[in-house]
Amino acid sequence: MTATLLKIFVPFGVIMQIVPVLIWLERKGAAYIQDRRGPNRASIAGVRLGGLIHSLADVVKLIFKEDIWPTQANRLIYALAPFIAMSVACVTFAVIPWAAPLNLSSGTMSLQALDFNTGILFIFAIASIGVYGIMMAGWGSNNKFSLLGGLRASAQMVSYELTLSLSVVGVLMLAGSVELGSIVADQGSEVWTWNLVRQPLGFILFVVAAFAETNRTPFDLAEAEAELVAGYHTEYSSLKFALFFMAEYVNMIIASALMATLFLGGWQVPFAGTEFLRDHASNIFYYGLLAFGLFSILVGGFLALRRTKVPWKDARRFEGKILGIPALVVGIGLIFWQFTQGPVVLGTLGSQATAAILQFSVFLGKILFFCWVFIWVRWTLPRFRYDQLMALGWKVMLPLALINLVVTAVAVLIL
Amino acid sequence: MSGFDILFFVFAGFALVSAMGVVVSPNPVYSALSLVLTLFSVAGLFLLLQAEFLAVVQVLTYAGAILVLFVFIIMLLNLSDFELMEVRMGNLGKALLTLAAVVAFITLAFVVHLTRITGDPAVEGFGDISTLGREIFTHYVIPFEIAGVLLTVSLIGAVMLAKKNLTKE
Repeated sequence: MTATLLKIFVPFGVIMQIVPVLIWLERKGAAYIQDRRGPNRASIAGVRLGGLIHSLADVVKLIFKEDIWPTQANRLIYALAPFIAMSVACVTFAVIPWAAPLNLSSGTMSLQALDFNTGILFIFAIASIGVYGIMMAGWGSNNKFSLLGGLRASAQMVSYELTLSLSVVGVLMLAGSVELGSIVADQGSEVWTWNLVRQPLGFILFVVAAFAETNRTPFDLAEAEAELVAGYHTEYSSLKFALFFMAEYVNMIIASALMATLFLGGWQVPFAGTEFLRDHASNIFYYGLLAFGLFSILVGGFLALRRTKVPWKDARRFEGKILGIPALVVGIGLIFWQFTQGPVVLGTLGSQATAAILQFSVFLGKILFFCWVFIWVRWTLPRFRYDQLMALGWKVMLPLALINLVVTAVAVLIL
Repeated sequence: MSGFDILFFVFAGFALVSAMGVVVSPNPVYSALSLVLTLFSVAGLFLLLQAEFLAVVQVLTYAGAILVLFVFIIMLLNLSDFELMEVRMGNLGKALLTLAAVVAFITLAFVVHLTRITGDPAVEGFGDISTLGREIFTHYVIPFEIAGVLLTVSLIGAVMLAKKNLTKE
């Protein structure tokens, strides 16, 4: 019972913590792509964390904004829409495996909240419900811009869902299963057996379709600000807007997690299988902490010794010292502690937990990489025109997905 | 009453209430959204019967694709209340329709009451994807292919009907 609850709430908590980081990454990334500095003003006692505090300020702002109800809106549907968008985005995490299954005395325990036979189909089913949030928001607001945004979103998501599902079928055939756990296990830890290598076309199609499904640029016609103000969430304010905003980022994280799971080996650490990690857990733990200590010393030293170019007249002048000196102390302490103690011998459970944590971190790294690709593309490519979007979806991507499917099927049959 | 029973009554209750909503609600958008809720509840009932694949496919195709198109069309037409009031009929028509509905309902209830579904309990692996796929592509391959051809034909027919002035361009 406790284990189940933990498996539900730990990933959920992690995802919810990634959202503000992603918002920060989006702003900073956009700024540096456009040759600006990005958010760097909000601070707590002089600590700005490179603009991360700005996300915190944003949350406070969104909570305290007035919650505006348009008088002509359909109140029930208007209020339901953001909750549907957000809850649908969150449910999908249940079937994503976070690390290799643990061998406990009571049996194997898979590290996913819901060990579902229909794995990937469950994700598609739930994701296909997400469009209702956008449609209901568009219709319920009783605003022409919102309605157009909602209509665009629904047409787009229904069109690209086909390519999204078809591009995955090749992967499913290779793994011989729709369970995400076995898809990851099938890919193995060698990089060249990952589905990225075995299914390159499928990967490209999946990434493009996932961009369309998450309504991100270049497919963000549902909220094209030049034409539709803000599309389906024009009329939303305060926390209802925040829910849409968060749902967009949560959807991005899901799409990234799926890309990593299906094509980049999920939780597989490159060139290090689960058995290897478990056998060498003590050493990994020892050298991992040493490396972390060294990293902490380097970063702390850099921050503490750096001179600010701007002559701040307030607490910001000491920001480098405030962050750097604790990091230095922690790093030196860790290295000292590790050297005096030597490698700790971890038990079966401890080594499994170490391996699981390492795999979880690697998976998180893959997710964050794809999230960065989302942001990178958003600030690099212009938006499609609507007819281009439909032509791309139906006339280019769908035939390509079908070709990929047939070629993979023949290959699986022959080999 | 076990947890499964409680869940059964929750899902069944939701299915009935929302199915009622489909018929009763005057606004077509509400009707369509109630239908989504009905399909969800029925998917929940399938889950209770261990038919995971059926439940997921129910949500994926009906709620996720077909009804999205329904709602899309309804929102695109954006019917005003005035247009919705257009359908009017005399008392005789109403009476006849009500009578037909009652007769149909009683017949249906009678048929359900008469039918005794018997058979062996579900075998191991019932309802999972591999079993289902094997059955479809071996035992039921001809009906499956015919259904596929039928759907394609209807799709082409719809496109031909919708496409205006095919020869002039």
